[in-house]
Amino acid sequence: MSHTKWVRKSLFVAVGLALALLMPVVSAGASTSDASDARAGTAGFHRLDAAKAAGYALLTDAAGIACIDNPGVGGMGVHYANGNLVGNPSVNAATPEALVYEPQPNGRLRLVAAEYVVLQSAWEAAGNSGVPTLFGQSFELIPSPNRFGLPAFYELHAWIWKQNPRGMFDDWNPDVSCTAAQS
Amino acid sequence: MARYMVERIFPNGLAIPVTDDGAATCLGVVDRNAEVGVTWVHSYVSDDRRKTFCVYDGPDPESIRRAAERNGLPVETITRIRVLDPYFYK
Repeated sequence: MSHTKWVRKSLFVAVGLALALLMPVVSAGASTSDASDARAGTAGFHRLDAAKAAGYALLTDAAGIACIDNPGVGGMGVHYANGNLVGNPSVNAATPEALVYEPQPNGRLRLVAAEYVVLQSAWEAAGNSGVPTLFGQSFELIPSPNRFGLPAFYELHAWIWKQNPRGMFDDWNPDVSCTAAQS
Repeated sequence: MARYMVERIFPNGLAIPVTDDGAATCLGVVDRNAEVGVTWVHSYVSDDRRKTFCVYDGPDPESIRRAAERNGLPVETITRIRVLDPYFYK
């Protein structure tokens, strides 16, 4: 092999290796994630015990309310949030920061959605500009003060386990109710 | 990951009791599916309970079939599908 060919081949290998190393970072970002990843990553959390074991804990608002709804618009449900993931500035469809469950008349909780959350301060501290995106959707900025008593954060709901007539990524689902939680 | 419609026939009818045991049965399916990289999204059941149409995400039909074997579920057909809804052309 001539020196020129060897250099060209080495460059090709180096560029390929660099691309291969970069690929997981790119795919961990927003654009290539999809609902299938989200469902595969959360299917095991139909079992609430499994979610708790994975670090998800009940989240209530500042008033102590667990089941979040917006009468006349729709419900969200009961959130279980993973503190470690919330503090992390990255977003990944397969590992949502929060799981959303709907109280059922039989007392059980049904997994209905995933919520992706990034603290604005952590997002910006990581050098990100703009807003986070997943599924081709931009996150919504929830300013502080808010009902959860949290610092400003970006969030996106994905109704991957129960259809939402208002759209898969709307915050509120008219088919989700907190009635069973109050009875 | 691709999406598949899996048709199953249960000659004696599908019988999953609405009890803790029934819930455990369904969650067991979820767990065993995960072992082969397959996700059960939801199913439609015919009125006579002899036929189900199950929507799955998975890497390929072979994985769907392996998951069925692990769960002791019959498989009639596996068809790769995509979503078409009233807003598709807008």
